[in-house]
Amino acid sequence: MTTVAQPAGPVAQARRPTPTWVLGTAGVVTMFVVWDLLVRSGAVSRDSLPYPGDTLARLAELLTDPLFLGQVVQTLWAWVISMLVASVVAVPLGLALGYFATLYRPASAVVHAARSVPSSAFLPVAILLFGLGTQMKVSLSVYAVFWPILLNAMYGVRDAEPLMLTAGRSMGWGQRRLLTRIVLPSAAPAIATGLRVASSTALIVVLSAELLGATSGVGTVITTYQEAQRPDYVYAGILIVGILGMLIYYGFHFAERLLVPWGHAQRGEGR
Amino acid sequence: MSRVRGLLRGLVRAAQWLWLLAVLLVVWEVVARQAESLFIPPFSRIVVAFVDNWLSGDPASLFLSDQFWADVLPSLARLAAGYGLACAIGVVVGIVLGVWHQAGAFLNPLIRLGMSVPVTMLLPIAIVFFGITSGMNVSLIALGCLWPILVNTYDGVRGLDTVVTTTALSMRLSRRRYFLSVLLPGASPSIIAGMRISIGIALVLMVISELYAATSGLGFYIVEQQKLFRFPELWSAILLVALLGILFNAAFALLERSALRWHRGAKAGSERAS
Repeated sequence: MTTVAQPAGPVAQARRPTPTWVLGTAGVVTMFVVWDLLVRSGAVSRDSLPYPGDTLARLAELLTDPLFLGQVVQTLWAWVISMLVASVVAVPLGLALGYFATLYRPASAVVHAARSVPSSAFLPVAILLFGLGTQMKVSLSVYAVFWPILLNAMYGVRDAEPLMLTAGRSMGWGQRRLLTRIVLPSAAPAIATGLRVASSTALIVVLSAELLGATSGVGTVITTYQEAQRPDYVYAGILIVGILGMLIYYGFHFAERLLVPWGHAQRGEGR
Repeated sequence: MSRVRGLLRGLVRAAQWLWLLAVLLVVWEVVARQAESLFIPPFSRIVVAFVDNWLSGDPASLFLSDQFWADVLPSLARLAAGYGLACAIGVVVGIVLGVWHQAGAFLNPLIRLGMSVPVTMLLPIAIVFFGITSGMNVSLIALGCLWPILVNTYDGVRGLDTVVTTTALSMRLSRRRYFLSVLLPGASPSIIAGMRISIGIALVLMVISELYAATSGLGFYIVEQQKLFRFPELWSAILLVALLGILFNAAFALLERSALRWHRGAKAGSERAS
């Protein structure tokens, strides 16, 4: 066995540091044990916190229930449409607004004013305007994610290195070449960040709209189970939604690394 | 003379920033007047309702109306309680996990999962635990704000410059000195960035949780006005929420500029913090 040289002496009994994944797994297991003990000891009422075992059983049940999966698809559908609509409009608009210096300031004043209104405050109006269906969810979600995507695209263009632009111009590059070779590549990381942040926000807004009034989607299922006083299903549903959120977050995270690898190197930040 | 010129220059700059916003508001006004939609009133009527609702009090109460004290104050109290709780827990736990690596690794998957659960989905649970009380709103706000503060604090502590930390180690600083003059200042830009993100989240969650269930507050007010079909009043509440958001953001920008003047990355950081 090849061992790394350890500091001699009785105190430094060689123990390798426990790998992080072991600790992480231990953390998850501990949470389930604590959760179980909390319910078993009666510290928390069983009406508000079900046994973890029951919750996991319901989780499996829900994941194989075609009706539930249909509602998940409804939620994701609203999410996909709102992300598409918002990014198809906001990214080009943001690029244009960032590119033309005269428009940048007034546009950013508008964006900052508009994005300080939480889209959820529009919910009562949106319900009256669009009803209780997908259209209402999408409209709220588009409003919520439109501004961050737009703002990031604007910032991205503004952040293009002036030196590189000057260099490009001095090489006699035309507008189009400057745009595709310098402006877009340097704006891409910011745009990707905007989309990643927006993807989480859009999911939250869609789910909130479902909790507060829509007639389809995971949120409505969870509300129904809550009204039927089945906390085990409620917790299972929330866990599924959490995993969904995690998948979306990491999906965008990895897509970002794959598509704009220069973004992380440039800013050297993980978040 | 120069003062007049300075004022003029200020006005021109303000106009450069704000003309598009003004144009859009005028367009809104004209279109809404033409369309006579019940749900989206002209902007001028919203402003009138805003003044009537919130600013019609006497000077003794800062011109703020009784309505303001009755509906906005409970909201702000919940916001402050939830946000304060999140700041306290998030910073303490973030520092502990940042310093104590094993604990950080132990809790990391749970924190990632907690972050990913859209916090509004916890409304059905929170209402079972707390009923329709302020505790429900406060706990939801606290939980939603906790993650960005915690993770930013953790990242700030872990991201401390190793040159600085090893220097501090070799100088044999006492734990207290290390904490107060190396760790805390080093992590503060990141901590404040997390707090800034969270104040926006707090405002959103305040409204959502009150829309879901409350017996007072701005969200409750919005629901009431919708039931009464009083849309200018409803929009005046939305306008108030927006102004609160702008106010909080401006306050944080000021705080970042004054508290983190020394930090070279602070300016770039605050630009990105949104």
